[in-house]
Amino acid sequence: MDQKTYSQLEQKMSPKVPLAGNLIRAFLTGGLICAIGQGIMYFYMYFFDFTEKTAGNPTVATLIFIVMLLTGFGKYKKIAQFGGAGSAVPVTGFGNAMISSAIEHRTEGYVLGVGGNMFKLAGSVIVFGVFAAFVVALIKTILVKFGVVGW
Amino acid sequence: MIAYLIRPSDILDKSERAGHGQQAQVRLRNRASPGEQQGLEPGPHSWTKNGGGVLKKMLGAAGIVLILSGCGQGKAEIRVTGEPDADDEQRAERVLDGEERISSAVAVFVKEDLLVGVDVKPLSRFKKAKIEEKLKKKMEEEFPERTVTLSGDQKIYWETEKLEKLRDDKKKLHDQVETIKSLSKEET
Repeated sequence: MDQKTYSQLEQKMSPKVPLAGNLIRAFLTGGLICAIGQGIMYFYMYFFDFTEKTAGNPTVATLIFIVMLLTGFGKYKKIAQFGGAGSAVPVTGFGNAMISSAIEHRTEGYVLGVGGNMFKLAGSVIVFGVFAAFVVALIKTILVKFGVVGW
Repeated sequence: MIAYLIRPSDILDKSERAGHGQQAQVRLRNRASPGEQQGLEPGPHSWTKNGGGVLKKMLGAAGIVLILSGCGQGKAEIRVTGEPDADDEQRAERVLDGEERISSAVAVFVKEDLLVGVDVKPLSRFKKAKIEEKLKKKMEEEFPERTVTLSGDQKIYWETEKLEKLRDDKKKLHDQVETIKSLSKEET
């Protein structure tokens, strides 16, 4: 059996991916997480002295904290199984990536296991996030210097 | 309203009336596969194949509600409070009335300050900064003797709305205006 026949056979045998269903589920899950986030944001704005501009930071922290707890209790994987990318793309995916790798490497010890592996996936998010922010800020600074746009 | 419209039992009732009662019931019963009920990964096409009709109706109902709720918006509601001079109220209303993208606004006149909280319409929020800038410029032209603080931030709008109740308590009103001004400058 050559490679081509194998891939044809594999495509015939493997179940079809329910693309439309997956998209709808991801849309609903991601939308629900964002709606909860909006609710938390309004909570901070209504009961504390946060404005729309400043309420973002505590909202993100709260969402990550909630997801860390859910991951630890083993509930988030059920949400992830249902929602797929809808549960991974919002900031909640970041908290999930951190805690799940911490749990996974717990047996290797606290320093080299948990400490060393906690940021295995989340670390690249931080690195590329910071780098992207730097590049965007650089471009904007240049554009402002040349008077193309204002701050 | 929305919750009422998309209740599964409601959809079932409608299907029954249309003469497909049994079919619809079977479809609904089949929707959750045994694996799904236990919280495992749902089977292929569990939403689109068996629940497609229900989902379509739900989306349709939600769409109608959204479209209808978008229609009932009229002119912006403008309120003026604090200690406005004789014609300040009309002047402020004239400036704010010219902006179609806001749904309501509260202007507070206190000493030499003018604090304006603006509620921007949902889809215009993307252009909030530009709307703020434009309105602030207009207000500054209209009231050159006052320090204008204008914000489209929801929090600032809520807080300026609360100032309407403090009309009689001058001292508290002044303090509160100062607090809101510093809040609108807050960046972190």
